[in-house]
Amino acid sequence: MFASRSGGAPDIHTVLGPYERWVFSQELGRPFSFSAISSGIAHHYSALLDRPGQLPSDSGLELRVPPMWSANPAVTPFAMYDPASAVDHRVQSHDEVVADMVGKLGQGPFRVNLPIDPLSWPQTYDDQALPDWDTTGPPPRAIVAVIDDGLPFAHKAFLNANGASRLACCWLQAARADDTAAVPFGKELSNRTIDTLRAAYPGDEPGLHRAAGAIDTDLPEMGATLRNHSTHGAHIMGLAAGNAVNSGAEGLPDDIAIIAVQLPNTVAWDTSGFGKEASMLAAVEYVFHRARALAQAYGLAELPLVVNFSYGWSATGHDGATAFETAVQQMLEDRRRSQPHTAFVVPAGNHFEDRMHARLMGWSIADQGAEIGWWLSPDDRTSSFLELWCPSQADLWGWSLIVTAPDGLQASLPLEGSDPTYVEMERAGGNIAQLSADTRRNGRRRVIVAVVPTTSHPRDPRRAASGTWTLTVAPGATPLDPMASIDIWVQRDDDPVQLGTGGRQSRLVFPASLSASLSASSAGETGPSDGEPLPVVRGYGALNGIGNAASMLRVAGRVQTSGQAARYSSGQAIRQTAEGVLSLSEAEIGINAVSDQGVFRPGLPSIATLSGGGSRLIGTSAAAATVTREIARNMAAGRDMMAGFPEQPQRVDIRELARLGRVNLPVVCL
Amino acid sequence: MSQYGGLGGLGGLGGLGGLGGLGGLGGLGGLGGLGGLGGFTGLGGFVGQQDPGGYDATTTQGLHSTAEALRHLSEGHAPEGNGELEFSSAQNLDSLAIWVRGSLYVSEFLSGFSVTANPSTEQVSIKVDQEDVLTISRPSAALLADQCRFVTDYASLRADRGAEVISQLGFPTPYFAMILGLLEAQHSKTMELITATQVVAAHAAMMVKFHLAIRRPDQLDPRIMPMIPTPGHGSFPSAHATEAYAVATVLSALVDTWQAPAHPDLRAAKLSALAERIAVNRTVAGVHYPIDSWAGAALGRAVGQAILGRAGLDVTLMPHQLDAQDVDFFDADFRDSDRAAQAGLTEVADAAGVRPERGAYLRWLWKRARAEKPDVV
Repeated sequence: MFASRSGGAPDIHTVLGPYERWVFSQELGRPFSFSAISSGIAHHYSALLDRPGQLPSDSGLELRVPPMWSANPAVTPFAMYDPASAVDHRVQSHDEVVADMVGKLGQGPFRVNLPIDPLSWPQTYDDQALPDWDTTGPPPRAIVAVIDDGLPFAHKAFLNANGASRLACCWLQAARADDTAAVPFGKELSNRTIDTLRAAYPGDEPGLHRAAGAIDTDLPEMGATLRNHSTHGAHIMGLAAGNAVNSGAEGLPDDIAIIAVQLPNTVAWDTSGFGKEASMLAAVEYVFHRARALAQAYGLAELPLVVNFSYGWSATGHDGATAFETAVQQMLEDRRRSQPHTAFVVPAGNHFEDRMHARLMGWSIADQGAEIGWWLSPDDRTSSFLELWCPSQADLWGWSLIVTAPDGLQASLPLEGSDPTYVEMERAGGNIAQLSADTRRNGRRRVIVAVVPTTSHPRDPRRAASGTWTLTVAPGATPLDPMASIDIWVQRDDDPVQLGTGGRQSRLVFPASLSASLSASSAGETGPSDGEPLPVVRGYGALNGIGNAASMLRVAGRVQTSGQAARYSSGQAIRQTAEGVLSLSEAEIGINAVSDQGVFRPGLPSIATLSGGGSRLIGTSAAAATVTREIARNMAAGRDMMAGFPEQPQRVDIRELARLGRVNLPVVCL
Repeated sequence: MSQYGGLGGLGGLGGLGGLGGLGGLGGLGGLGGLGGLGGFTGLGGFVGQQDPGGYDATTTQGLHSTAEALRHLSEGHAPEGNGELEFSSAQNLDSLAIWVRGSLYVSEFLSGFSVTANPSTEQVSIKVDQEDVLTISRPSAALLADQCRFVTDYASLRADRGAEVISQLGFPTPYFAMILGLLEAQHSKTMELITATQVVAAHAAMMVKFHLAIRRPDQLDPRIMPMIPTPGHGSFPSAHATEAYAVATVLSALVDTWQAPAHPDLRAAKLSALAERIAVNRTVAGVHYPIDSWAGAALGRAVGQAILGRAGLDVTLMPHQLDAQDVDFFDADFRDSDRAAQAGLTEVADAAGVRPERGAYLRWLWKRARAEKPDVV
């Protein structure tokens, strides 16, 4: 049950979506949310205007739009602060504070993401200011942008032959703010600042990181990430743009400049997808904006630009229609009109074997419906999320989803209905799950099932039964088109060590009666077609959920020694007829690159956080970074972006194409 | 010819005298008191602690020849008493080896502890000082079959908890020590109290298990393959749960008495959570159903309270009844009477409760542990 609020703020679901309703509401999922949300009520938030148009000027809120490259953005990321809510003690609950702020913004739709630490909120934001560039070096011929966590911006791998920084600028989104800044939150470092810091801290990179505010233990979103031997960001930036012996990659020329954005820790490490898009889209707009400004500082037109975005999450519609994908797609199309050499590289994802995706083809749904299991692990201390997507154009009148927990708790949700529709599953007066159905940007109907943890939590005793939950898709009056599908994705729910959330991954089980924890992987088919029909639960279609925009370049991982897809590398979606004929569908793999140097030498080498150190990373993120690197090399040399990346005409098998695409990147790390 | 003549033949070992320096290692014997004692449960916690055993052959021969050489200094003197020990006095406990005290603790506890089986109802009654404190019904075969699904589900946690499972094969004393910051140098009697509680609880569990005679989950369900050897006794109740909940009960009372270390309430909460985790780890390993943890927790709480009563605390055990239901085990449910009732654990209505008799040995041990309140050194 969700009781209407009486404090004057609109109910949260009237102004925001199911994820915000769950995450910010005390009687739903807030007690199990990130500490940034569960530990107190904030008044600064990152947010999105999820449509074209302008933010209101009369909201009474302080609104900050990051440096925007887009003149008419499809989606506008922004940050907001409500001075009134910060002193209004009548408003008690977190969801009311958020809903109240969004109510003041007027015409939406809006999305509210994670809070922003007040310490990283500069008193004055000068959105016309630019970094204090040092332009005495050689003019750049191409730009590599890296958006990631824990970035070692002063590492020797990013210096040119003269010992000056190749990073033109770096935005630390969660760093302690100066009084005045050219970024709406956090801190921006220019190449001049980095060189000054390097001169002030010779041989003392840890001291440099502290002085720059890149290690700041007062700020959880910054923290001591850079004290780790290595970080995801160090590895990725080293591979994408660094010159160091550790990776064994051929050096990049000095006229490839770097623009970097370090995301807040929770944004970087959160795997559930909630709360990320505003920071990420702000990062992309910033990168495009500063790339143009840097070119202008040298008197040049838009430069070739490749953005490495080694992030993602797993449950979306996988149709390129998230706010992030929609906005980035429009930016890529617009920028390519003035600079065709513009690329956006994303990893395919690492969930091929994780049983986190299932596809129910229309022909396979019998009159009495289709049943699929969703197994929730014992001892999961975080919420679990599942998304079910209906095909566009379908007549869903009479269709419903029936959710049955292992302890018998049951609820039914009509797939057709008002937008949005909510149903709570309750036990002893407490909410155990929230079912919602809403209509998304592309007209598709989306169901989200959000469930409380499976173990008792010190902040809240509610607990869901672990074991296999049964989801029954019950048909209505009109059957689906045989080749249309209902698709299910489970949101990633592991426990990044640094966040210590206690999350445990749920997974899909088909048939639902299968023993989930002990059965062999049903998704882990790796080789070429073997004539067997595809399983319902499958890694084909388990791509990175925010990497499906048409103009993004999706990178799969392959094993160097075998030439086959890496076990974990997610595959393109496949449609299958009742007779077993396969065809590729939806977003395709653009290229594959080595992500494992061998079965017994998994991962790729790169730098660590401090100069001289090395580290290895396993996954398609690292493969993507090598693609970014070689595209940058081509751009700087004036070649076609994909020059020297051989097509594989002999590769015709559908399953193989779904795993590896048609193009191989040659070996980068020797 | 010496009176030790029979050993004379060892004289030939004299050449090994250079090894005498190794004697210094004898000092390690003191570590026996740590109680963790890899892999042993039951009596193992006390076996051999401070038992000197015999010397090695070389030392024995050396002592013999030294005795021969020094004997003339006392030649001609008669024995002389240096005061008699007090009769039947707890004061003498200090001078006993730990293992000897261990025997006394166990016998003192068991002197008023009984387990009786009723074949017609298939129930087991646990009594303290002739009064019922817990009645446990035998779970049905159907219930055991239903519970197997939890065991298969929990196997997914093995990768996370493997180190805990293996290092908790014996008594998990280091885990309790971690939560209270106990160290051998300052808390030897607290450690001894933990060991005594574990040994007593293990005995109690074995007595109950014997009558209820419940097969382990791997014997019912071929999907369940334990990651550790299946123990050679019945599944229900779990001895690990019994021991862990008994220790958590006793240590919570000790922390409450100490009002130390800092945040005693949080320490007590962690003791309880640790007891749950130790119990559940056995389900993860594949050797226990969740209902085993329910029975073990109920039995362990009763054992712990009885120990506290023997130790002289003002404790009343409220009699309980367990008719296990098909649910998972959570400490939060165990501590909540409504949710415990849904799991089949109920307090017997209108019972007066049992106040255990005091015992000299456990009372002595409690006082010594109480005196070890953690302070700044």
